[in-house]
Amino acid sequence: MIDYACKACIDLSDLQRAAAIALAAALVACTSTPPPKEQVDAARAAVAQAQPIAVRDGAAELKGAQLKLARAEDEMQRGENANARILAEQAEVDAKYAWTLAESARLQRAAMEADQRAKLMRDQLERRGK
Amino acid sequence: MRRLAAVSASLLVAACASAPRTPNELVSARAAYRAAAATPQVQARAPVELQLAERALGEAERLQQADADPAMVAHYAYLTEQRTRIALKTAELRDAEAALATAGEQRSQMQFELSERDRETLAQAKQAQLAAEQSAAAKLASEQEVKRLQGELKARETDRGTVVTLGNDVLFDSGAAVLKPGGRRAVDNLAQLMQKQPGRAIAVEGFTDSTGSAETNRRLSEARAEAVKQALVERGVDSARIQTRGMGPAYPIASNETAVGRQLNRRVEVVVLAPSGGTSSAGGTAPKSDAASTPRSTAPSTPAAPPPVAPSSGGATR
Repeated sequence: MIDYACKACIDLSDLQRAAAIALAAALVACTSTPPPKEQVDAARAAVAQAQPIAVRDGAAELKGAQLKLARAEDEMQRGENANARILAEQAEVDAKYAWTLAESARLQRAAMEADQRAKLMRDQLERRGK
Repeated sequence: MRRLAAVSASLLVAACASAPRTPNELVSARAAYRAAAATPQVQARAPVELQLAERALGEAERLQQADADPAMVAHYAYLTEQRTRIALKTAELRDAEAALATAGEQRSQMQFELSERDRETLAQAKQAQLAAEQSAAAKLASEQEVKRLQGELKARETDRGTVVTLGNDVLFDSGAAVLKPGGRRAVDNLAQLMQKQPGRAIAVEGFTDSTGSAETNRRLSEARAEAVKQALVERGVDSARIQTRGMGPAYPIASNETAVGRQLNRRVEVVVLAPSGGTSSAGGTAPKSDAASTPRSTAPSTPAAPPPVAPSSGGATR
């Protein structure tokens, strides 16, 4: 990367071309980013999935996702589509992380309980074995 | 020349300094992803989630190389970090799922074992019931055998116990105290009866008619009672259970005036005494019932005689 950069700074015409392309890309991005409906929908779905279970574990992550989703919707309405897209994409992963935290905690508790039940039953078995 | 070199060197340094600096977000996202990707548990349990993280990281690297908006690089770095966290947690989640499944399997295995044990217990109970039924049947058979032997020996039930009367003419030659072969069968049955009722004390009492000296008769009757005892012991009856007494001409059961009466009086009575639990009541009721049920006291020569062995038998069975 340093190699590439140094080569670029020696070869000035290359650097100029790259800068021009970046500028053009930025301009295009600013003017023609479509509303991130798909991303916002995906974020909504992820939040909806996490909401019922992320009550204790993942609650903070869910809260963050909800805030980002609300802001994404807001930005999209104001036509700030690039910002809206970023916020929506982050809201989606945050909500998914919240769901994974809650679900993994739930399953770990269930596994522990099952283990205890198994232990009780083993005791019962041993007592009867006598 | 030297100046030119210095200028070009400073130019190079300046250019490199202005080259896109790797943002901290990307550095930490790379580290997080690499650590997760190097964990076998995550590779195995969350490959899809890991791939999504890798894709986000690739996008972040691509944007960084293209010198794109640092905010976008930071955004994809954030996505990389979150997706990496999701991959790590998903691996834990799958572990818990597997543990849950294992516990469920163990539980159903143990449930199966428990029901197997229940089945075994049930089978054992059935076995025990069968054994109880069999032993009850055996007990019944043994009781029937006792009854058969008692019938064969013409045993009489009295309050003292079961009384078997054996005529001396079957057992002994006149004046002798050695068992005749003919007496053996009677003693065999007697021994069997006693074996069937272990724990019961036995009184063997010898009697004579009134012919001859009373003392000789008493000694003879004692020797004969002893001979019967020896025969019983030879057939396996515990000698400690057996008491002997020679009664001589006492307690005749028939008149000594006639030959038939004297023959009846010459006898050995074997009493299988009532179980020890009934001794006290047997002792109390013995005189009355003896007088009522046996012809002994009604015989002319012995008015209101006490039961011969009752006191000592009480001692033996206690």
